[in-house]
Amino acid sequence: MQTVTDTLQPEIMASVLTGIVNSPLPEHVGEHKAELVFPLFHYSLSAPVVEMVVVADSRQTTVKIAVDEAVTMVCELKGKRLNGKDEMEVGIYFENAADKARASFVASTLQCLLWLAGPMKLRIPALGLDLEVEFTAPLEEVNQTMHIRHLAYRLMVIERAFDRKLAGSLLFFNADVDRITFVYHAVIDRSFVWPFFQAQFPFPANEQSLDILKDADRPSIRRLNVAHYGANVLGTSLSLGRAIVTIENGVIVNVEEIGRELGTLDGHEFPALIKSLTGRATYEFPEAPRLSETKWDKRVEEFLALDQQLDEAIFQAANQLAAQSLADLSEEEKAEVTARPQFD
Amino acid sequence: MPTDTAPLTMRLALDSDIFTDWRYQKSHTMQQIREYRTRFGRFPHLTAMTVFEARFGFENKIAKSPSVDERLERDRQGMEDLIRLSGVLEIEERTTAIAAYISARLSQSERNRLRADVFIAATSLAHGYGVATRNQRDFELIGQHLPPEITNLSLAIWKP
Repeated sequence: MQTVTDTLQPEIMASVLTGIVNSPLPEHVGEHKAELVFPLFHYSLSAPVVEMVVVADSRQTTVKIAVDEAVTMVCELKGKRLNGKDEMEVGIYFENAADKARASFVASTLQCLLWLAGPMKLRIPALGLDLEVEFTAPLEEVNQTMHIRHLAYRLMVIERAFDRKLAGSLLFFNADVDRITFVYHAVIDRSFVWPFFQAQFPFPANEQSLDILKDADRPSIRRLNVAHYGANVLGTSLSLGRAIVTIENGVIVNVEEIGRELGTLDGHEFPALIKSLTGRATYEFPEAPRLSETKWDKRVEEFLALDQQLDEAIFQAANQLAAQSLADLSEEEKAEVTARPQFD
Repeated sequence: MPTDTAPLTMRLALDSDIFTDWRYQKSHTMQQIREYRTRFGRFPHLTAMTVFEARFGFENKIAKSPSVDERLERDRQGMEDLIRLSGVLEIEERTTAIAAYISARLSQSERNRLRADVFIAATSLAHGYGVATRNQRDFELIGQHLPPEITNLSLAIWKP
């Protein structure tokens, strides 16, 4: 069977703060472990080295570390001579071999750790490699990767609840984000408020529909039982089962048509277009699949436990920018630069 | 119901007053932004009008300065980085249609006073966002003049 390998993100670069590298490095990896230590987050992980390529001429060593069943971390150690001194640079990128949601979650978590957890240590004791490195990136890139991590976890939750793999692209567009979020809420929260403009619902022409659709043009709470609610996430149709949709300030748009259809009371099905004047509805999904209570595996549980530290680190980084935007100014100058423009 | 409280599932754009509160490190605003980021996995957006107002503050000061002020440049850079991080909701054609509809239904004095807020509301509406603001009264006034195809303007009032 052929294994398809994707590169998840572009290479990220770090400068080496301190380091020891045995020279020359052995050409066979044997069964060596790599250690990634993040002292500020009190977190470390150990993973097997699966491949190592030493190119002596170009002073470059590539080490592949299987950080997860779905992700390989590729470290490129590049030696260079700068101002008469030997220096080293580390480049890292990730490869995955299927299971995109999990791979994306694992790779983005590691990437965020590299960026947000301060200087880290990369050690392969058996190879005599012990480096302290620090990765930096523009904060918007870190923010974007944190968002991908957030969505990838939600996709993992959806995949687990529905027992299906979502094979679509992980290049998220707003519509994808909305659908992932909607289904995630259906699985986890079961009942939630969601923006609702208008939608078409099928009704049978009978007394019950007459009761729901009466006073068609008068805003009222319209509580609809939908026999089957489906959602499409990254090209995969998912069934959320029965839904109760409570539309606040709901009015019927196609009033005349409904009057005609309901008049027959013969049970035939017809569409009613319902609009919410409040722009929202409460969705309840009593039959939506649930997330199993079984824990995730060790790696995912460890990475989830880093949520709070990662969230706080990115918030503090952004908050520092907010503070910096007025940091050097007097109170009078602050008032001046934050005053709203007057045009008259 | 022209305005209402934005549900927790709704994405928000920051009004200029909230963006300023964040820059002033107001603790209640910082807490709201921290919670929003955790909920959505990203920071709230800024509208193009909010960005204009924030940039105008620096440009207006710089234009009056006889020489380059490194302090101003440093602080401006901090703000620009924050803008890039947050992401900007652009003023698109639909924004202008919503803003024109609202503006035409305000009195002359309201129109002058609320010019920026109308664009902040219109941009948020055009992108399907709610507005995080302290300025409930003015946005409620704007919400009374929404085009018929728009049901309501959702507000998150971020006050201490």
